[in-house]
Amino acid sequence: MKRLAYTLLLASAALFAQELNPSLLTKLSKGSGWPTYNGDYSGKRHSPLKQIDTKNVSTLTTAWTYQVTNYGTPSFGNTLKATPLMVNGVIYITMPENVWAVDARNGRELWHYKSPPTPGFHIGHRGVAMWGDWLYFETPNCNLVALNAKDGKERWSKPIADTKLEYFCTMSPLVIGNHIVTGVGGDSLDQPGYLQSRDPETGALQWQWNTEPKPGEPGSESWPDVDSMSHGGGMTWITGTYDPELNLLYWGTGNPNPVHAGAGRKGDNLYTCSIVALNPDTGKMAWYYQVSPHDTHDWDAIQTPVLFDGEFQGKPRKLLAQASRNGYFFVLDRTNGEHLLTAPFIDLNWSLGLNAKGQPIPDPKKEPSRDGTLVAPSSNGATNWFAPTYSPETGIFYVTTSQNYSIFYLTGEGKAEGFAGRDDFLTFSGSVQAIDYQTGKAQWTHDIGGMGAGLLSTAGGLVFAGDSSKHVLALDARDGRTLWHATMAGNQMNGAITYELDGKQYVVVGGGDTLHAYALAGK
Amino acid sequence: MFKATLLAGISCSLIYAQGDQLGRQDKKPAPIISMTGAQAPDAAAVERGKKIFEPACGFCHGLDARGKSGPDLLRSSLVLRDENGSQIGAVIRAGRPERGMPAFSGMTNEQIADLSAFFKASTLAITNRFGYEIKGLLTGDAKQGEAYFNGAGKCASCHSATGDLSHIASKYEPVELQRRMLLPTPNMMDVFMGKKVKPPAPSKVKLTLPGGEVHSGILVHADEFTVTINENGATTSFDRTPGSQVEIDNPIAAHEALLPRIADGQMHDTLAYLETLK
Repeated sequence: MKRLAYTLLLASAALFAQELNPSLLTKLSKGSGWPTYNGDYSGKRHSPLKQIDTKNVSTLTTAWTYQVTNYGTPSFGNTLKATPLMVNGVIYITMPENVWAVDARNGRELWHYKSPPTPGFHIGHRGVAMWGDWLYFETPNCNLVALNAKDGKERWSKPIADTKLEYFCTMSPLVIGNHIVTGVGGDSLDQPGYLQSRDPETGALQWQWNTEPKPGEPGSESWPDVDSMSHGGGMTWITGTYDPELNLLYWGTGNPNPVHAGAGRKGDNLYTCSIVALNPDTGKMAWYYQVSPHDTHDWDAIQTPVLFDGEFQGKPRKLLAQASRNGYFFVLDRTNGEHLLTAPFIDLNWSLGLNAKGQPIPDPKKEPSRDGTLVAPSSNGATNWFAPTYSPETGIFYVTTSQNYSIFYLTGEGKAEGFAGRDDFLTFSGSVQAIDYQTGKAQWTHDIGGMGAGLLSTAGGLVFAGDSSKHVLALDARDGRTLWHATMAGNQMNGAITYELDGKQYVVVGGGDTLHAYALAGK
Repeated sequence: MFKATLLAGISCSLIYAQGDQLGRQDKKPAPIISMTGAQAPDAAAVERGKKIFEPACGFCHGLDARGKSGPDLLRSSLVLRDENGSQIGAVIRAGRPERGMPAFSGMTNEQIADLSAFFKASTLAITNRFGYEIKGLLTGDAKQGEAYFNGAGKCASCHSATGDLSHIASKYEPVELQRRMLLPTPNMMDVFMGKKVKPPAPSKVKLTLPGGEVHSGILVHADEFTVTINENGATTSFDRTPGSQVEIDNPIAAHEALLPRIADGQMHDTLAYLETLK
C-alpha cells in the first residue's frame, strides 16, 4: 500500500512538472532532454552525452519498448516517422491524427490524444513542438492544435492551410520566443508554399512568408508571368533551424509546380528549392540561396539546414550546411548566405556543372520527357527528409544517402498542372555517408541496404543509424564500423534521440510502430 | 559466376526491403488515392457535366476547363472548395458581368451539381498522378537500337532476340518494357500499392563458414548480420560471423552496370528495337 502511494506520488509529480520555459530553448545541448524536433536549434542532432561510448556500446540493452496502438486511419506505412520530444521525464511521439505521452523512464503510456478522422494525405507525421505547458501538433488536414502537455486535452485548433486545395500537414512546428512557426506540404495542385508564425497562447497569425514573391518584387523576374508565379509550389514541410545570436530562422523550401513540367515556368522559380534566412519576429527575408534553380525532378530542398561554427579555408566561420535531395552538398556562411562549397555526394547526371555562385546548372536534356529521361537521382532523391547529424568532435557531417535512378516522363495533354509527369523508380541502394564539410569528400560510407532513417551523433564517438532490415546500428563516428546493433519491430524512419534521466543515458528510436529505448546494462 | 558483394545481395532483396520500409510487410497498404480523402464522383454525373460544360463554358474556359480567355477553373479556389454547387451555383447563375462572364440564370440545381462533378473529376485527374497515362515512348530508331543491343550495350551477351526475348513486346506495354529493359525488377510503386508484380530473378548464394562448411542455395535475405538461404527447399538463417564468406550471384549485375552508361537516345533506340519483337 505504501509502495502504491509512493508510485502515485511519483506519477503525479511527473505529470505536473512538464513545463518547458521557451527562454531555455536557446541554452540547450546539456543533454538532459530533447525539447525540439532536432534536439536544439542548430539541427546538429548531436548530444554531449557520453555515458554510452565506443568502448561500452556493445553492452547496450533494451530498457523498455512502447508500441503505439489504436491510431485509427492508417498512415502511409503505419510507421513512426516522428522524432520524439523528451521534456522533464515525458516523451511525446506522434503519428497522423495521434499524439502519445509516454514515461521516458519505463515506456508507460500517460495519455493518448486522437483527433477525429481527417482528410489530407496521411503520409506520415514528424512530431510536436512544446512551449510552456503546451504542445503544438499539425493534423493531416492542416489544423494547428494546441494540447495541454499534462493530459493531452485540446486547448484550441486553428486552420493553417486548406485540404480542399490539396495541402496536407506533417511537420513538427518550431518554437522561437513567442512564435510557433508552421510549414505546409502538398504539391499536387500547383498551390503556393508558405510559412506562418502563430501566437502560442491564441493561435492568431503573427506573420506569413510566401515562397513566391508578389508581382514587381525582387525574385518575380525568375517567373514568366503572374499565373505561373502564383501557382508555383515550394512547400515548407520540414522543421527549420535558428541562430539566436543572429536572430535568423533558416528554412528549406520545396520544389516548384507543376512538378515535372518546366516549360510553362521558364526561369529560376524563386524561392523554390532554396535555403532562406528569415527574421523570426517579422518573417522578412534576410538572404536566400537557391540550391536547385528551375527544378523539374521533385527535389525539394527541405533537408535540415544544419548550423555549426568551424574553420573554412583557415578562417573561422558561422556555417550552414545542407545535403540536398538533388545530390549536392552545400556549405554557406549563415551570416549572409555567402556560398562556400558545392560538392556532389552521389553519382548524378542532371547538371552541366556549377555557376559562379556554386549553383548546379540544370541540363535541359535531363528534364522529364514524353519518351523518358534516365536521371540520377530519382525523384526520391539522393537523400530525403531524414535528419542528418553533425559532430563537432569529428568535424564531420553525416547523412543517409541513396544512389538511385529513375526514368522521368512528362504526361498529359494541354496545360501542365499538378505533377504533370511521373518517374519510374529503378534502384534504391542506401548508405550512411560521412562528409568532410571542408572538402565535400566522403570520409567513409556504410551500406544500409535502402534509404530511410535519420541520424544521431553523440560525444561518446557514436553515430546511430538504421538499416533496411529492421536494425538500429551504433557506428564508430571516425570510421563507420558497426559497434552494436539490435533488431527492432520494424524499420527505422525517424531520427533516434538521446537523453539522461536519473544518471542513466537512454537512446530512444522508433522501429515500425514501436519505440525502443536502450541503455547500458547495470546503469 | 559468384560475386562477393553485400551490395549486390541487398539490391536483389531491395524491392522487399523498400516495400517493408514504406508499407508493413504484414499489412497490405491501401491505394494512395483513398488516403487523400478525395472520393471519385459518379461517372454518369461527370459525363452529363462535361456535356453541359463544353458548349456553355468551353469557349472561354477551354474544353478541359484549364483556361482560355477566361480563367483556369481547376486552379480556382472557389471551384476546388465547391461541394455539389455550394460555391459555384451562385456565380454560374449571376455571372460575373464585370469580367465579361454572362449569367446562366436558367441552370438547374441538377445541372450545377453535374458541373461540380465534372470539375471534381477533372481535378482528381490532376491530383492522382498514379492515374497519369505515359505514352509516346516510341521515338527511337530500331536499327540503331539493334546495333546497340548487339554492340556497345552488350545485351546480346546474355539475351537473344529469338530466344528469351522473342515476343517480348507482346508481353509488356512500352513503359514497362523500357523500365524492365534497364532493370528487370518489379516497379517500386506497384509493390507499394499492392499490385501484382513479377518477382525479381532469384540470386544464388554460397556461404562458407569459418570451419569450411558450405551452404549453397537461393538467397532469401542478406544484410550486414545475417544471410538467409533456401537450400533445397529448407530455409535457414546464418549469422555472418567473422571469417564467414558470402558470395552472391546477382543476375542483374549487368543491368546495374548499364545505368550510369546508357544515354537517353540509346535507351529509346533499344526500346524501339525490342518493340519489333512482337
